Amino acid sequence: MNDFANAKVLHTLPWNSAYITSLAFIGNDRVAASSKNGEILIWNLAVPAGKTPDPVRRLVGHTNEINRILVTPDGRTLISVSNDRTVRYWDATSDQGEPGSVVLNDGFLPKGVTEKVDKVPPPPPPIEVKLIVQKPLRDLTNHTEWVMGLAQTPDGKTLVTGDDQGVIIVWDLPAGKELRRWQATQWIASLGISPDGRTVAASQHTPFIRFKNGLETFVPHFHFWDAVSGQSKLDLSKEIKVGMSAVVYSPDGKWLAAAHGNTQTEKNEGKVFLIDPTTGNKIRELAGHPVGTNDLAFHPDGKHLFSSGRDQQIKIWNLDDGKLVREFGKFADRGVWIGALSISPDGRRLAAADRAGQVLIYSLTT
Amino acid sequence: MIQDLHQQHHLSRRSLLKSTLVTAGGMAVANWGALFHSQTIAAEAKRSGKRCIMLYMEGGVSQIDTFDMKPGRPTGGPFRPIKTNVDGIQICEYLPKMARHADKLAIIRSMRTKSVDHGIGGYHMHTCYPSSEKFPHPEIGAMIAKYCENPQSDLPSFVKLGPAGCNAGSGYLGPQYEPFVLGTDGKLPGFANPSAPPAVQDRRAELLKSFEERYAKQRPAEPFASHREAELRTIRLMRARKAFDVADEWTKARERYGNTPFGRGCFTAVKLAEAGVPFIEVGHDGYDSHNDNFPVHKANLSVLDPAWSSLLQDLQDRGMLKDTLVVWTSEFGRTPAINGQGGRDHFGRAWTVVLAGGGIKGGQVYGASDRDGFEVAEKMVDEGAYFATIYKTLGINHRAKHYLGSRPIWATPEGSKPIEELLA
Amino acid sequence: MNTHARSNLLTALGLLTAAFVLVGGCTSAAGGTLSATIDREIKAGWSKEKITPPGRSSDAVFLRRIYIDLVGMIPGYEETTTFLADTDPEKRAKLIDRLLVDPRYGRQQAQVFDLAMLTRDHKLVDGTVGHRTRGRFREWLAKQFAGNEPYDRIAAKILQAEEDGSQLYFAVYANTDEMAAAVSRFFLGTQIQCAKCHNHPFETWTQKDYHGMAGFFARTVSVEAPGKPEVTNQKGKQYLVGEKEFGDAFFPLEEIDPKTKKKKTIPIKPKFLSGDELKEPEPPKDYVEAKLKPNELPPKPAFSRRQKFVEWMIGKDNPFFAKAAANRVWAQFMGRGFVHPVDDFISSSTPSHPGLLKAMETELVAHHFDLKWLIREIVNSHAYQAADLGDAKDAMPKFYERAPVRPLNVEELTASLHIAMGLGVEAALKVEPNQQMLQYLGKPTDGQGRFQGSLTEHLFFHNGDGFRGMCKPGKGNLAEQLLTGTEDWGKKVERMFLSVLSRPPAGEEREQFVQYLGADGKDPKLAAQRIEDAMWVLVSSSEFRFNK
Repeated sequence: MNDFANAKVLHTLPWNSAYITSLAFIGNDRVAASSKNGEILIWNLAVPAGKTPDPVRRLVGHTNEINRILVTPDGRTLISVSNDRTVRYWDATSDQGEPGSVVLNDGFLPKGVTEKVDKVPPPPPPIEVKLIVQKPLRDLTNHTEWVMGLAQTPDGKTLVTGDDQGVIIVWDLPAGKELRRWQATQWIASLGISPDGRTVAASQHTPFIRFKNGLETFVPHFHFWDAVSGQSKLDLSKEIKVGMSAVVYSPDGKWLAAAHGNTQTEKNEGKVFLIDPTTGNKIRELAGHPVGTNDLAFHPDGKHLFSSGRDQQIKIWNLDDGKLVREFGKFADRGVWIGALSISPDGRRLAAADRAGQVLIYSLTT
Repeated sequence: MIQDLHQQHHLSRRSLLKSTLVTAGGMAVANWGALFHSQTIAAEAKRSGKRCIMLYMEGGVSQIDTFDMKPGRPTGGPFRPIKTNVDGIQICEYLPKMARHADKLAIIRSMRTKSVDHGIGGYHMHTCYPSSEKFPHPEIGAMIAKYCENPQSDLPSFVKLGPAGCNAGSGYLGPQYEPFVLGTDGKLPGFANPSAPPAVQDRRAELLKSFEERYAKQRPAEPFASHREAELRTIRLMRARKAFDVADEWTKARERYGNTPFGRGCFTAVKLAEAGVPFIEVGHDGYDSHNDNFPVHKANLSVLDPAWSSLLQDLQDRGMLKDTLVVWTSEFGRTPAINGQGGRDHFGRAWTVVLAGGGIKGGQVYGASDRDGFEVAEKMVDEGAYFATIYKTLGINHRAKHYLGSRPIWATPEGSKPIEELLA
Repeated sequence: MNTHARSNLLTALGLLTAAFVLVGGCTSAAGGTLSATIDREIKAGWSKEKITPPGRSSDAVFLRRIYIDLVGMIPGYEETTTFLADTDPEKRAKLIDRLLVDPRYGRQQAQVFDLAMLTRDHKLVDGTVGHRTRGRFREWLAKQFAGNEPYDRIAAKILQAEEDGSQLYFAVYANTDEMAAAVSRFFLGTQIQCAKCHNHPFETWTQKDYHGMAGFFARTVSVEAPGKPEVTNQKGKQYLVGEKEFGDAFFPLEEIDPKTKKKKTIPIKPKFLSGDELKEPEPPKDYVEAKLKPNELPPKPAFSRRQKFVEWMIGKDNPFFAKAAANRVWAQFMGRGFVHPVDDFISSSTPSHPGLLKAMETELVAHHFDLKWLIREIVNSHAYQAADLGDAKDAMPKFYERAPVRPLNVEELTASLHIAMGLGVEAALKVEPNQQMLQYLGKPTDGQGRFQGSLTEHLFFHNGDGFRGMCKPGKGNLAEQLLTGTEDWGKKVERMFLSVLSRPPAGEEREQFVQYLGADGKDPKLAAQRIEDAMWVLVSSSEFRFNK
């Protein structure tokens, strides 16, 4: 079994305009990254050895932070959800569009954040890349609040989104049409949909910093919802008492994983829960990342789960025994968060985005 | 019978006051003389009959994400501004109800304060002085209680609900102005409910009173007086405790205020102000968003907006707004620059407080921060000016002088001036 | 003449009588020369300020006062009646001697010093050093006081932090600045922390003085180590204190370093306050500080700055230590120090009785910091035994013209409640103030030691179970005994007053209470309520709440 011992960083793709919120592979050799500044860049990784890929396309349209993106299994459509309250569809493969450019290093400098410094260091010379600018295919305004949750079934037929009003919408994915919606309590922090399209697992959590003294009505909830009727099938709030940063089903439907990482994780609590998708029982708890786990990704080999955290690390877990197989990166208590993960469909590449403005592409092959 | 006892208690308190009036030429001496200078105090304050409600955001509220928006700037963040009912004033889209009350608000965008950490920030913004002085400064509530209280009222004159921003208490003003602290949602502390039937309570209180009076002969030392005074006030408080019971009316009001502890606290504040309490502080915590500033603030504003706007509306509807100053404030602001965890950190160089009612000229913005919010651009307001403005609005001399031992101390530091433009 | 003038006259007559007693029987039999010096100097102070001298405290007032001050709780019924009936003219001195060897003495003295050193609440990293987790420190302190360890040795041991249980001081004041400030405040009686950032506003301490003191503690570290359960009283944690070989306090200059853009700092040589710089040996050139695990102590350094500080502090030439100690112990019993606040000596301080302070300081040193000796001298003086009556309104009169009035702290209150209710010394010793008592009664005074009567305290008295519950008849307590006893109400009221207030009731009081208690006749339930009421009145009163 691959224990990823030979995994190494292939490319470091810089983009620090604003921090990167989500990643998705398009096929095996292109990767898309969404940013807090409302843009998506796409890189083509099939470049000659020794060269660093430049972004080739820039998807423009959102007017606020993009929270999550995904690419459909056929690799043709990219879908994004944003704080501008929209869900947008994009052509994932086309390279038609207007010529344009992007500056990769115009991120706001951290100097002079709390204290005024006498002289803010001059910005570095801009690294500008020419590329194609593209517009969305669809601009769906069904949500009226920040859309934070996004997930699809592995057959690409059903899409589910959730917003911070607690509204969950199930869509006919190819048609981009709303099938049904229902109201959950509190913000949808993250959600997943079972491969058979029948269950939506949602973490519901209003991001107050404290929950004592009367805010008990806002304590986090976790429900299995019936995707057809919109009724709650199972209330796991007593077992899962915290808000989850990521809720993901394994493509084979055997596992449901949920990661703890939100405004309350100031203590050492970033656990990852492995849950039985049918019964809702907790199969096991993985230690996760102290201070918080940000994202999860199942490896297509069906045996491993990848997690990234607030401790500057990426960890690989064996699903059968819950053991830690490997970790990348050096632990740091108040380090740079690794905010997003994506694994290529063939399982040979990993993309990880950190809050210092770069996307790391790892080779996972032996 | 109970009526008589009531009378007797009032009489005994008044006679207590009379028999221990100390001279000292109008200046309250240290902590204790202040208790008994009701004549002098009345003359000083002219009993303006004004009240103050302070809404205190614990943790440091972000000005750029509330009242000092920076749209399009790199420090702007994901919140967008919306218009208000005052031309030219825009505030955050997540304060839509407050936007309809902008004509009541004086928004001070040029606060510049020195104590930019928890503990010291709360202390400085409550007492007007830095905690490093290690001096028993009173909180603003105690000062306002002293000069605006109605000595005939059975209710305490300084009430706090919610997370405490500061525990300086009444400092050199003496125990009569200590805060009376309610639970987060305005409920009385656990022991306010009498544990004995009224007949028993009354008779044993009577026994205690005569016992104490006998003991007090030849024993005028201040701690005894303070202890007796507190006992008498407690009995009056227990009698008046229904004023704190807003449960029935709350079931109707909570839709407007929001069914949250802060919402209920604001509603309780309106009721207490109506009952004559001159100062109520309502705390709202959880603003210290070093991580995930925007989700946190959006969640908090969804609680703040309906509560604060309903408070203003209810005061207006009851005709109380012109006599009730509503202060919205915090320990400090938050940095314009956003850190790697999507958060903003503590910031004192340019932030915002908001005043309304009580004689404040509404519908205005005072002062400004620069383009990105890093510095004050015009009309800087420090702690002294902020406090002086509040005191002046309430008819209190902002340079009121007291003594501790032989050391004089003023309510605000030398050079503090109220901002005249803010007063109607 | 009107009532005011009449009561004044009566007071004057009373005082005059007392004054005769004072002048007449002046030599205190058990007090030594310091006692006499105290009385002479205090009397001189009264003359100078033209203050009417106070009378002598009544036996009942003295009895209660000395018990609370020396053993932290009121006397029980037996102790009270025995003392009041005793006709021995030396009974006060003998009582003092008995209490000084009572096992409760060490405990009380430890509580006082613990509260003064560490204050009511201090947080350590993972928990609160509140009432419970300080148990070991208090126990260790109690042993020192009970064994009458000389005070300079106790101070040295606290700073050396080697004995089990002594280490909490540095666990609480865990960084250099806190240590320097706390040690100066408590042991040297002067507050230097203001001089950290700028030269002290009221004093000659400069920033260099502050940092010079900090230098002694710059190498001290405290670690949390897994504890031995038999040694620790909390779940497996103990605090160990050690010292590194290297390390310095840094003094920030005004200059900015162009590279780091921060203020330049220079290491400061430790300097004794008002004294010389420390002469240190050069560190061995090739010594490398060991890399330590998180809970590991460094090995003992070859040269310990802290040890040098301790030697200086308790050395015979130290200008601060003995004076601060004398002032503090005097303040403990007399309400306020010659310099007030007790830890705020500055060069412009004028002690209220400079000659007496000097004499006390000298004698304390001559007696090798024998605390029991000092305390015995103080409490045997007429000044300490002054009456609780008089015109002075100050809680702690500056010229000691009336005994000080201070609220019982919550430990004394809890223990005294148990004694008042007839539950016995053992029960009083076992109980610790519960969470509610601590919350409502833990901080009755503000930072300047002034009593603040608060509504929440009285609500707790009125309606809190913990307080009122003690007054209900039950568990064989006094209330139950009074309920079931067969003697007449008059005797019961006497018993009540003697148990709770350590004195017999005045005629008027007896009548009023007898009337109150008997008003519902023989019905046991109604009588029980009235007994509870009466007990409650007594323990809620000012007379019970304060020591005077």
